[in-house]
Amino acid sequence: MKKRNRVLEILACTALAAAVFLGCMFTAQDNGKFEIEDVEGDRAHLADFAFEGIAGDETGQVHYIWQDGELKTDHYAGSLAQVDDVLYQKKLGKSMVSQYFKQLNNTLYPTPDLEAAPSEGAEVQTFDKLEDLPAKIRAEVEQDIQGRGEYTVKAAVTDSVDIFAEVNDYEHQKSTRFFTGMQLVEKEHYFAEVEYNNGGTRMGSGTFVQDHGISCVDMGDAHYTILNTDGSCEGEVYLQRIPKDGMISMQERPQEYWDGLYYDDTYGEAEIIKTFRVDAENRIISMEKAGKDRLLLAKSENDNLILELYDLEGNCIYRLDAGVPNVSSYELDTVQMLQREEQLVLWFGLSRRVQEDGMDEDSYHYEVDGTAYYVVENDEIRIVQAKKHMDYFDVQNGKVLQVEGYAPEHLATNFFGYMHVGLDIIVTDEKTGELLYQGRLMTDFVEDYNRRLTVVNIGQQAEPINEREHSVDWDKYNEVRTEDRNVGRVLPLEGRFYYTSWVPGSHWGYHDGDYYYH
Amino acid sequence: MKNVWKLSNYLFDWQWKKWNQKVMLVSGILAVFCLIAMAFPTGNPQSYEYYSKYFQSYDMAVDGSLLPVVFGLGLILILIGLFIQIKGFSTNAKGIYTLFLLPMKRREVYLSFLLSAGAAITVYYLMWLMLLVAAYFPVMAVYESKAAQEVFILAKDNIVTGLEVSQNNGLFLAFQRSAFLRAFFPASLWYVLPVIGGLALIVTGIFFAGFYTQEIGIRIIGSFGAIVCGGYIYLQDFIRGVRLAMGHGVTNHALGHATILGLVGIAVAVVLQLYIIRRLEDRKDL
Repeated sequence: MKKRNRVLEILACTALAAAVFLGCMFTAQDNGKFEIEDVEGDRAHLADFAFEGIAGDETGQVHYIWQDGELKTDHYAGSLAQVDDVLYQKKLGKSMVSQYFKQLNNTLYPTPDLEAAPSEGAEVQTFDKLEDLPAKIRAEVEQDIQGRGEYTVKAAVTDSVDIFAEVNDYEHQKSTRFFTGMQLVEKEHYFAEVEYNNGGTRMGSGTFVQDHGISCVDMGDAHYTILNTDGSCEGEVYLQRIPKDGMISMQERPQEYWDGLYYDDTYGEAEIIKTFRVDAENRIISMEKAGKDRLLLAKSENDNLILELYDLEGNCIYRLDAGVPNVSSYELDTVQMLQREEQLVLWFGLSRRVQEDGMDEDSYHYEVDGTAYYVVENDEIRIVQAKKHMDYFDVQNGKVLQVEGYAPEHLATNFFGYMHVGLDIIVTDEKTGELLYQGRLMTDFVEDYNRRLTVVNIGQQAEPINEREHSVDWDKYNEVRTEDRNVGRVLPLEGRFYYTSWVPGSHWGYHDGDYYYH
Repeated sequence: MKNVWKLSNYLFDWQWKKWNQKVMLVSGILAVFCLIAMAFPTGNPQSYEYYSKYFQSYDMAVDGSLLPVVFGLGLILILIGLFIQIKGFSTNAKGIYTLFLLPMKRREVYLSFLLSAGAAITVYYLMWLMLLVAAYFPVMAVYESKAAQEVFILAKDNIVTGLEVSQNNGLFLAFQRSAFLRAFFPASLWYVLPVIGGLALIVTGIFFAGFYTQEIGIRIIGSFGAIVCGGYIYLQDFIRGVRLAMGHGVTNHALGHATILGLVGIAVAVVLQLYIIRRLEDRKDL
């Protein structure tokens, strides 16, 4: 009699069940609803554009690509950050092993540092006693001093400072320091160093030039820079070319750079390409890369926004009145662009601070006077008409693509915040504005919001929900923590999406690496 | 090889009758109770405070129930039983000596124990997998129909009811989102290896404690080390899911991180097993 081999049966059965389970789950990945549905017009118009993005929650993401008139999707079982890293590495061409098993630290591109030093020929007074300082400066320095006992102080006061900038390449440990062309003479500037007898130094300076900001465009073999000016700047600024092979090694910096209250010399190569005169009404707002050898300069003239296109020799190839008067009344803090080899697409909202009458100084809200859209191609700059607040915008072949995420239509939005569960897509004709195509990226993400209703108090003995103060049990909500899927940022398939700020002084600090899906 | 199967079946049946059958039965019954409790109405809509559990998704309901606890306890009991079985054969005067008198090489005896242990764990897993997948349909059917009955009194003249809360592709989403399900019954190939690797290492640790008797120091370190590391590899995704649900921060590793842990677990388990077998064959006292 043949006895049954239960052990083998069990092992085989489980292996089979596991295989079936995993197989079913694998095919189920693509069962979610995720497609572009037409609302109006001819879908062929959308085929002129190519974009991608990811959508999902912290446990799984769908990566979609719209290209050549087709929507392709891929599922990844990871969080936003994990999938973002994998796709970013894929874009950079890294190997599969690196994509999935290594995490890339986003490279940080530092923008140039700004420092001040007394101008050549300016009158500099030095002090070694706190009491001798001019009253206003003395008050500021005293505020700085920590009261850590005995100290010696060295200070210098001048009525005119030069703004210097330093481009640093930390990866190769190289640097160039140059004069930006701007002299500040609007007040007395000081530099102070306090040395405490029991150790420790404190440097202070009333000249906080980082407020001004500097634009720096990387054109491969050189950086191109120009100081961004605000209302306090009056004088000249230079558009300069900083060749990368003219940078000196950071170890070779002269010792005086480190010692002393200030450093008023330069090192490394810097070539002045063009000089601009600026004042409060005629500012340099920013400079961006507009193609592989073009620079877009945003400036104000009599407080009107002007966009100028330059080549790398400083020749102005095109000039456009951008149609934004009173530009200094706006906070252009979200400037978005698609940077391509032969094209720049640029858009920003015109938001301005509004203070209510009767409210105190510190309270204000923002109002948006529309969104400005521009495209730079074929050596010309064009204004483009589009709706307000588009999340994604592109111009190709005389057509304009406008994409906006849409919110879920669900009872839960009465109680909770929400994110985008799909995209509204419009294609219009650039010249006539005629609607060529309208469609929707539809998903089933709205169903995720059902789960939130479990923490809404629907006891019928209590007052109607809208009349109650609390309809949600937030403690329960935090315990339960539902995850909703949302559609993330749309990115161009070709070219780089970049966002920045044109608010004076905001160009200092670090920008994230090239690509991100969130 | 025939003898290996015969012995492994003997060991399996022995353990089954003595212990595993009871654990599986109790575990299964408790699981069904949990599932029924999930579907059972709680709270009274006609009171001041009522939160409807019928809007929960399957993953929320499973994570909030006692199912993870029942599963974990059952698994631990089976592992403890395994250890006692091995130890029992070791210390019992008739036990392991008798086994090694069989016309089999020592490593074949060892392999039999391994196969028996593997079968015990996998049959437990099989029961739970089938239970969790099958339960989805009745539980969610109940939830959907009950949720449609819930009433939202937004205002005196604005009452919302009959909400449709079905979730497209819900079974897959539940296994992807639930901290419990994705950690122990992963829907994605990336996360299968940590389960296998972790369990393999834990079982290796138990075998280490049971079969390796030469040096007490190595025995303790080897077994505890394997169990702890195996436990970590097995549990790391679950712990992460629980922390996320509680709102704590978690570190983000690369997508393949868990797979590497799993591979390491399997590799170490294999190496340790070979070591144990080697030392077993060296034992002079058998």
